[in-house]
Amino acid sequence: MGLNLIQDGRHLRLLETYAGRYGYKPDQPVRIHTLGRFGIRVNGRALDAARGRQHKPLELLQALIAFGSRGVAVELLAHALWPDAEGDAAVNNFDVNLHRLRRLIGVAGLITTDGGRVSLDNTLAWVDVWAFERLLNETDRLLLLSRGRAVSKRVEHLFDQALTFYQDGFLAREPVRPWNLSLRERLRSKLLRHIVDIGQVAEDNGHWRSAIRFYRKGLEIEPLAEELYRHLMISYRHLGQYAEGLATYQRCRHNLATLLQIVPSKETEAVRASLLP
Amino acid sequence: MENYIVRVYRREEGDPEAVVGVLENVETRQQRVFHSLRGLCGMLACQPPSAAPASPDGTQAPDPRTPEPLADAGTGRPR
Repeated sequence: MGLNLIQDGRHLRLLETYAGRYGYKPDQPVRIHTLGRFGIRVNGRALDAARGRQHKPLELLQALIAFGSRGVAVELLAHALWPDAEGDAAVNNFDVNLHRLRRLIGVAGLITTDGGRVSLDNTLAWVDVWAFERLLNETDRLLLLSRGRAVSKRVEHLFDQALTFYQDGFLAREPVRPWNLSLRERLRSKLLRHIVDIGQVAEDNGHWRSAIRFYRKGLEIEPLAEELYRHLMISYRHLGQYAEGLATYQRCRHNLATLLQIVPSKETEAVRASLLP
Repeated sequence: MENYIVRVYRREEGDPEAVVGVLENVETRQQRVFHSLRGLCGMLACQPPSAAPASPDGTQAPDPRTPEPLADAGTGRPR
């Protein structure tokens, strides 16, 4: 497992600025980054976990977050992390590694167990996944309230911040495990759905540059989403950027042919035709 | 246990069998393209995608660096 711990830098400061606005409180000593590179900061310092024995305790923390962070059954975690262990061995391994994890992070009360369930205390920890989902939920709430121009700007702003958190998939640089795959796919799917919805709101309000930014981000995440290519082409057309629109079409056509062995749909061809002189 | 991701990229209205997507083996990251539900089922039923040969309904996803020839628009699939 590659434990690339987060180092100081401009990007981290930016993330922490948003973290401060969305859930991070100064008295939360632990910050955990899981979207892209995995990293932990305790009291502002990157955790030195580059030693071999930290592998499994940190995997336990990752699994706890993957299973929802709160009230996760010990047996569920134990059998996910030690699927081949027999008898009580998995739960014994869990106990040993929970002890190591607590000692490694060194923040009392961070991980609690109660009635066979484990929780990560959200008053002591900030996790990027939590902030990311909170932002997406907030955009959902605003979208339900109204589709007016003022709301649109607020939604786009919140969504931009959510995109800042989403550096890559959940634990994307860690080995694939059945327990991390589910959250990774759920977040990816949720983000793509939001890109389509909020891009449409931006379009409806004539915010074409915002729409373009959202669709391009969506295509970074999913280069085979034909709907995103089509909306990107439409956005370029509204800005009079016909060459960019046609280049987007070519990229769509190339990727569909290369990776899916299909050609663009009639809808996409119609948008292409509208870009021609 | 085998773990797969199925992504569906296109559905044909009125023809539930016509589904285009990718089956990915999450351990090997190997991907295979299917153009029908039968093709997808065939991939899952026969062998893991990492070992399965190309079939009429399911083809190995090509390397994106070597583009396939394009078909005429509207035919759905390349010639």
